[in-house]
Amino acid sequence: MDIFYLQHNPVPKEKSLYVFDSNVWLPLLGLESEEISDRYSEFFSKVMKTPGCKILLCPIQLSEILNRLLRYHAKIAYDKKYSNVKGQKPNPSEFYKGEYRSSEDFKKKYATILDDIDQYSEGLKFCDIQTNDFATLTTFKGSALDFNDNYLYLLAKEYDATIITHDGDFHDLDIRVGTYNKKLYQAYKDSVKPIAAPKPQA
Amino acid sequence: MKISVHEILKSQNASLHDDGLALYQEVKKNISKQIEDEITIDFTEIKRCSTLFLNASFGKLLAEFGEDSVRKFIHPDSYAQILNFMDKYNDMWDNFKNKSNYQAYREEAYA
Repeated sequence: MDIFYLQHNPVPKEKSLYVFDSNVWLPLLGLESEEISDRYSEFFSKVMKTPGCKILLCPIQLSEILNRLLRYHAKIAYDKKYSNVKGQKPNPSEFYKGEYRSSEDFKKKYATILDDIDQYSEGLKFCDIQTNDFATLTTFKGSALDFNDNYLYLLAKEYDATIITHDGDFHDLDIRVGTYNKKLYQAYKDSVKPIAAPKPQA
Repeated sequence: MKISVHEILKSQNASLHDDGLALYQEVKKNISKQIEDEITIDFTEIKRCSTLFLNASFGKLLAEFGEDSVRKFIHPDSYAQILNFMDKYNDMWDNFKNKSNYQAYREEAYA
């Protein structure tokens, strides 16, 4: 386990591989979060500009990112259309499947997200894990990972890549992690502190 | 006043956060506390532009100088060759304008 703090302004090494957690991808694709956006965006710029560096992107993560962004846009569209409508109206889930996915807005949003991702394609490596072992896919290494987090962990492990995340759940793993999450970094630092030697008895 | 994105970036791609910040800084250099003259942001020779770039440039200008000033004085120009430019620009603006209204949706997306 090795966690480094992005606040220390690390420079990516040439030809390094990274996995950006989905919560880090969201602000890069327009869904800003005041707390974290700029900091991870700065590191993303560095990675993109460092020769040979690649960010790994697997199909399951691409699906997760697209779904999260499109459902965000769908909720906005739902509100615009139905917030003042009283009486019968679809629920947001019915709206997404029944109306939004065939709308012009959906097509535009989908096209803009793909165009953004495509602009970074020189710095991306589309790939996937080789394992198809049920137990490996479903047995989570960390204490609080979910299926997708575990999948990203397996991807990083297989390619010897560093995970860039703000998610405090990525601890106690045998991979490198980069974060601006102070709590995650501090927990790591505390875990590697040498145990104090007992005081000599008088 | 005209500011050329291509001259600042020396590239046909306006894609990264740093690129957006470079444009933001260049605009800021040319104004004092308030914007008093029209500023045209010229995208001639730029082929691609990302949402990340727009958030780091126009988004920060909006946050600093406010919607009314930016709408009145700062205008993108010569962007017809850039795929989806206006869709991205309008989204950037809409997200800024409705920041608090969309907060719950953002939190859900991040959850």
